Amino acid sequence: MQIDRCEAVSTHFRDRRSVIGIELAGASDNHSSELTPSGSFRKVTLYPSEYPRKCRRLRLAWSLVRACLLLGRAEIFFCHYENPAILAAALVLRLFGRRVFVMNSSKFDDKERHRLREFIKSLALIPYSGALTSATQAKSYLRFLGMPEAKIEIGYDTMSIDRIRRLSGSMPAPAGAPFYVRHFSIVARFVPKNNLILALQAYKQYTELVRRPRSLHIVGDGPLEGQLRDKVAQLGLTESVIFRGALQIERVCKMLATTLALILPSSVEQLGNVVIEAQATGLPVVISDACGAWDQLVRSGVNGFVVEADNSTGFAYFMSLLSEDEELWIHMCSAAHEKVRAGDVDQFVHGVQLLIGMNARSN
Amino acid sequence: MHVDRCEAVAEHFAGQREVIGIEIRGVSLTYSWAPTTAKGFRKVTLFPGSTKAISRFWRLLALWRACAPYTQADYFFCDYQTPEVFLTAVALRLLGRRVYVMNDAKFDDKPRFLRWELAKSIAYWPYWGALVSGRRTREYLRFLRFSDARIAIGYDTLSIQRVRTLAGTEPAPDGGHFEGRHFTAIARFVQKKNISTLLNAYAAYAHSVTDPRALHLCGSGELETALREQVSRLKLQDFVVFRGFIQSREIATTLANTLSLILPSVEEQFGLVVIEAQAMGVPVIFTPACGARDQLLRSGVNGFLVEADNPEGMAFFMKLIASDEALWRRLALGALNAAPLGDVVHFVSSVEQLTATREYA
Repeated sequence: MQIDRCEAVSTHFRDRRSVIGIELAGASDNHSSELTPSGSFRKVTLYPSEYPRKCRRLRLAWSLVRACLLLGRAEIFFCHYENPAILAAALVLRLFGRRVFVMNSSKFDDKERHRLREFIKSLALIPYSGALTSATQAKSYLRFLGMPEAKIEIGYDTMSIDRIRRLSGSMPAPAGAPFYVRHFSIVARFVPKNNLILALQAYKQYTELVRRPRSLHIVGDGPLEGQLRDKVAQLGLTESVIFRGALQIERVCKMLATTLALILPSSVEQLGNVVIEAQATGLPVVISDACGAWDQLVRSGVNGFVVEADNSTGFAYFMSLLSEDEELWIHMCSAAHEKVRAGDVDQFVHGVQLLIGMNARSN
Repeated sequence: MHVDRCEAVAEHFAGQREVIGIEIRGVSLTYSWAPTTAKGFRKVTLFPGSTKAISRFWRLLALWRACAPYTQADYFFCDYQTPEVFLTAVALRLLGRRVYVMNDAKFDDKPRFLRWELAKSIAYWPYWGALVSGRRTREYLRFLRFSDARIAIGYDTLSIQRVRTLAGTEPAPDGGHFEGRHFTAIARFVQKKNISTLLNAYAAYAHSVTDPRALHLCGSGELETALREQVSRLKLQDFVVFRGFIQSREIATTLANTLSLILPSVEEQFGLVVIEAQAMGVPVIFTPACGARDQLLRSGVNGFLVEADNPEGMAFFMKLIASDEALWRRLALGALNAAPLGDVVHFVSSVEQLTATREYA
């Protein structure tokens, strides 16, 4: 996803600024998907094959500082500000007179917050000249931590809508696959916060509400896989729930092209980038109220439905509405198109532009 | 509302402990509520009949004089942010008394700033524990000071039985017929209640059906003229009924003929009217800001969740609920099932839970 953003900024600034994407390691610890190779910008990988562990934080910070200083006068955008190595690097770069910005999508309600920890976190934001966040709640959280509102822009968690559409190989819904063959889809890692057990209970309730239930495709993998498969068997859903494994983005997009609605039931979800992918393919979404994507991208009853993360009956009811009412589904697909640009990388470019423009003026 | 709670606690502890309700004045300067009478507990009014501003000093003095004599008491205070309550709580704490705060604020009610919140945590120092309205308030007060063991949920509650008695009819889906029911909003006419967006939503709903149900607006406030002008502009005079500020009995009878209560607030600490609606089996269309949703509301079960800036979504859910009797009946039963969660018994059990650890001489 950072690739989309770097490419978009690079294209926008073309001859005026060069864009260099620095990644810490060549492979991700948390996701099965491979990192996409860079295109119109230069990508620097600090550790092509290994991920630095705790004992090497200083080394990592130094590598990062050196890579940034070699760029000369640059505007630097960091994610993972909570990582001590990033904090140290941001501090040193600020002392060297560089303008450093933080990119973050955390919300206050993502987890239990403690006064002392939040105070320390507010100090960790001091080196930053501004912030690029994902949505309104993330913006509120950074403002709470002491970042002035005028220095916070929205647009961090965005993707290239055009690329997703190309990858899907189909016209966005309601065009493409006919209404009656489409299925429900979930794209999520199999971890507790993604609340997939509740999603299965909701799906079971949905199958009891309609005459001809649609199938549910689940994309992902993770530690809960065994438990989820057991739950599917226990609920008698082995025929209609299809585990698709962890798929690369191309195959996710292709699957979305035959999807009726994306279901995102997470109990904790900073944003939920898959909502952007779903909207790019013209789909309504049924998401939980914990999803950060709610702020900017989803309006209940317009381009999807928002349900409480503990409310399987509500999920089932809205699934049945979309499943049975083609007119409603078409209406919601059209509304998804209207909202889709809010999740496009153009927003990222706009945010970057405002931040570096703002700082150029204030300096 | 505090009367319901004091009565319920007095009834529960009858013969064991006395309940004394202390109010600053007999009439509210914010709401046009009629004065209430106390049954089963003793009500002390510090400035009876006063409608003028009373200086903080005199309020502090009166409050202290009212609280100080009861050396074995448990004190439950609301309005912790006022200096007179804070100073009284500090003095009581210094004397070794046990003081509790009652609160329904949430982190997301308004923009928060860490430095101010850290200062606010000091204002909670005098309190041993907290009686809160729901999950989000519990999380907020946990952040500000208290451990989970010292927080109990049950503050914003009402007597469900009283609401039903006042209504004088069976709650939905019984009572008033589906066809004859109207939409209702019960709120002060101030900015944060977002009635203007509701009118836009209602206009969209009214234009999408052939025979729209009426919308009853119960309330008063500074925006009344602007709202009446908006109704004229939208050509909704025949459908929107301004009922003025109505008292508890009329609220209950109005809800007895309501299809759905709509609570479109952009800021709403709790929304006690949700309890009154659920007591009468009425589904609620509510916004994320509404504190009552944590404990009482579930979208698609006993109402619908919709964003405060989304009139199109509000109109969609109004049309959905108005056109499908089977759905309405299911939601009404969902509301009836949730109603006991808003009953004063939860206030009583929370008071009991918080005070249980105390040993009395």
